[in-house]
Amino acid sequence: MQLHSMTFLCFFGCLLLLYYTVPRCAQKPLLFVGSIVFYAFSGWRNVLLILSMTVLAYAVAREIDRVAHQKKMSLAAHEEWSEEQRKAFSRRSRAVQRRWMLLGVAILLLGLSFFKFAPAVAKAVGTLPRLSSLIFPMGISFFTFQLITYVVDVYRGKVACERSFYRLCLFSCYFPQLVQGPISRYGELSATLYTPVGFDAGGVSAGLMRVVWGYLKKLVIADTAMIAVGTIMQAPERFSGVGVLLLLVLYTVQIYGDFTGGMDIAIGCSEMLGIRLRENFLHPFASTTVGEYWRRWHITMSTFFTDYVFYPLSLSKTAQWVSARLRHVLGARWATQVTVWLTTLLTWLLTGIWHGAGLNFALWGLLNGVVMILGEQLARVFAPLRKKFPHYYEGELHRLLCCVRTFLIVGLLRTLDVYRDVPLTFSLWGSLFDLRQYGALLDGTVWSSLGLSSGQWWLLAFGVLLMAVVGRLTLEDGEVAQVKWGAAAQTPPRWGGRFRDALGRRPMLYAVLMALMLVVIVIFGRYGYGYDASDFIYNQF
Amino acid sequence: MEIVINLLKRLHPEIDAANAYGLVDDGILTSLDVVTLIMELNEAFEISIPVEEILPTNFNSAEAIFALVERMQDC
Amino acid sequence: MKKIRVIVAACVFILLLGLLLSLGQALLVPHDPLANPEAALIGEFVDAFAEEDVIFLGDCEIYESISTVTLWKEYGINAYACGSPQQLLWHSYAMLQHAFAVGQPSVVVLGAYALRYSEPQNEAYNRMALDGLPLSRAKLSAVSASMTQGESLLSYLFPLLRYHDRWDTLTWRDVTLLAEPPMAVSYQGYLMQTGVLPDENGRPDHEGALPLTEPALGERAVDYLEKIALLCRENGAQLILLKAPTDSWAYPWYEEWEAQTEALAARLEIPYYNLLEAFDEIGLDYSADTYDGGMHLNVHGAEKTAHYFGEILQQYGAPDRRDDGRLLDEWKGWTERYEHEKEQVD
Repeated sequence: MQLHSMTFLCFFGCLLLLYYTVPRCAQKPLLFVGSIVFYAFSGWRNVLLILSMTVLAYAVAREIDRVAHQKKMSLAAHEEWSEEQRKAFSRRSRAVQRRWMLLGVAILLLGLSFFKFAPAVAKAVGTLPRLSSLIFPMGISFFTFQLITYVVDVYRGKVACERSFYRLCLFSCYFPQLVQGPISRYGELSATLYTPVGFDAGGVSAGLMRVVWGYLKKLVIADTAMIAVGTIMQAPERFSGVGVLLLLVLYTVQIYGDFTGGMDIAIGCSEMLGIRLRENFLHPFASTTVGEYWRRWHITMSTFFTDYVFYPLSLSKTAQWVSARLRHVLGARWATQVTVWLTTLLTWLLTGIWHGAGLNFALWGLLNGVVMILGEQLARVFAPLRKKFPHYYEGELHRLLCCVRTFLIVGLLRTLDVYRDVPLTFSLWGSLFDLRQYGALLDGTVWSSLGLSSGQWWLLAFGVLLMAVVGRLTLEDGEVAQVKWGAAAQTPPRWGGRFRDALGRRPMLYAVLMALMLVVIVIFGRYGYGYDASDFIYNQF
Repeated sequence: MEIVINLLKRLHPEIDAANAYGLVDDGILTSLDVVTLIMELNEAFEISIPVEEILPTNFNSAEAIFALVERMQDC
Repeated sequence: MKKIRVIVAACVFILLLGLLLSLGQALLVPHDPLANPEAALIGEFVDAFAEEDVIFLGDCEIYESISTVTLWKEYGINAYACGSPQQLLWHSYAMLQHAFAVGQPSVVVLGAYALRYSEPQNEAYNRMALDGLPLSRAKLSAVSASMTQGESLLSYLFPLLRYHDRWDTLTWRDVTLLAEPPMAVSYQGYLMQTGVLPDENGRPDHEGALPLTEPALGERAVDYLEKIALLCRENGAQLILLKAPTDSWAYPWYEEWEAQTEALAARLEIPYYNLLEAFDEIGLDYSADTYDGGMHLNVHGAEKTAHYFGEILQQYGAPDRRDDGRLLDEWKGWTERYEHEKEQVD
């Protein structure tokens, strides 16, 4: 079921109605049944898959918990043990827990990799035609990642083991997050997922507004930009130079509208059900560095890779070994530094491969890592300059330039995703420096060659402006301070900020805005006869 | 304590490492910094800080970091 | 206090949404009859049809082959040609239901060509047939019978959902038209074509047409023919099947279809006239009477055919209404406009 299909609207409407009318004790079971129905629309095999993955995570976590319990009992029973003995015993149980955790994660990853890479491999090898036409289970990445975080968090002692299988199922199957995230952490989602809620007009209306805004971004802005991106995708060579620049901007507009729109729908729907999902985006284009960008863009994915790939990798025995080897060559300080760089690059490589089994995706990941490392190093190099010209460096102009730079860098890297052909991408990037071509922007030939009417160009321009204004309005005070490494561990800021409060106090403003948005979607949205309902980009993950 | 402050200074020369209390909350330390820091702490104090100790409260100030180191030494 | 504010806001929401959407619908649903006259035909039928004695139903063979003005002038027959491009039998059925709901035609002439189709063919033709009809059960069942892949019932209830993407082709004329009185493009459903593009053969034949692969008439079409026959019987109207005197490579009429239609008409006891057989008797001449090389008749052909077919209609009881002063006046106006348009190009 697509989040922007009529079926979903009907499904969600019915569910919402029932949700707030059934007795409180039936509310969450209803949600569970609803989630299963939702997922069953994509095939009953997928339901079996998600349930069996959940069984696995459940069993492994219980086992880890059992070992911990046993350890506690044994230590209490053997007070005569010396400190050394107690430590040794603790280490042994930890090792057992670790093996269970690794087993669980390995099987979960195996399932994901099978569906993600088997078709590509089978196609490349040319045998097993049944495998190459394997249907990718919608949202498998997201629920696999969620279950991994659960198992690892139980192992790390961050969350208590869930004793009820049904509750864990509700966590892994909860439908708004199922198709394209956000990737929830058990510790966070469980805070609101299981408590029955009464009808809260404020939450429901704010959620609804957000859902409608999400549809607007997806159907009006992203899908209009998609026309031009599609035109370029058809024949990338025809659009070199200034075409690459346009693609960079247009594809960014498309994916921003598509992805943040999808998140607004998911998180908004969830809010209407009184359940708080993590934010996945915090005004990413206000980032001044690529590092900051990745703390603001697809946050639940990047924190997943940080917490569950980068940290364990960097602190692993292997990393220590590498560091020790490098020490002889580079000296102590550089050895640590280079090791961290290597693990960073490896993490980014994995992030890239998760996006797709292709050289372009791998390269995209690596380049992101490289840019981030370079950024941090250059910041250190320029630190003295910063002290010398504090006026400029603290000023708005510098900030703005940094934002533009970050936008261009991440946008350019993202074009790898469109071209899907590494040598071609490089030659097209090179063509960006052919300054003679930029005259085409003025004589209009480029504008008319991308398949967009002049009305649609204006629509896009207004759409981008609108997204910027709404972004500004919904920016919360002090939010920038919240964009940080530890964001994962804390409650994220509430979407909307003061704008949300203002709307809550002024029903008239709410009514007018809502009506206008609906009209804009109905008239300017791309849907109906003659349009293939375009998938959300992140549905394929 | 000295060692911790010196490590922080090397990572972020622009801050007053001894008196900063929001290293994580104010977005000064990035994940790369934290990992670098842990590796150097492990080296300097001959400890092994596990992943589950990577919490904002453990890295917000030089004092918090030093407290973490002491706790790990006891382990 | 807060409650009142919320209720007022909810009312404002509904009013504003309704207002803007209806305005959008009025503007965006194609409403310029000159831009696409064929699309305006059914809307005109719904506005105009009231007490006509004869109603024609069918596709271009109906709305371009018989001049209603000639029928009036020569026989005093008050007829309406309810045609739309590629009108299928389930469309015709809905239109006939509408006709019986608002009037009392005594003779119903149904184009036979659509008998060949069992499946909906083309979204654009569906819209041309159905958008003009007012909402009714008849319309809804016609919609569900004729939707092609990717169409939705909802978009027939709210045509804005279908035409919303016309926003970037809107012209100022689309706005001014809203304030203008509706203009008619047809003469009681007859759409005049004045051009001449002779057919080289000089006679109707379907040389060069694709070979017939599926000779059977459409099963669903036959079902609907039976429904139409029943509806006519219930309303005391005489049903006549008619094949227009055209046959071309683009719209061929195969012998197989002819044989089946004859058999079908005999079984259902419906008189059937294949005017192709009367081609010479009508006096048609393909060097002058067609505007597109033999696919359709122009006004000269349509007048000859009306002259011939009027007599048949009289046999089935179509009355001469030239003694009705009000009708005389109405037809006088249409005839003048008709002659004027005809002369302009001649």
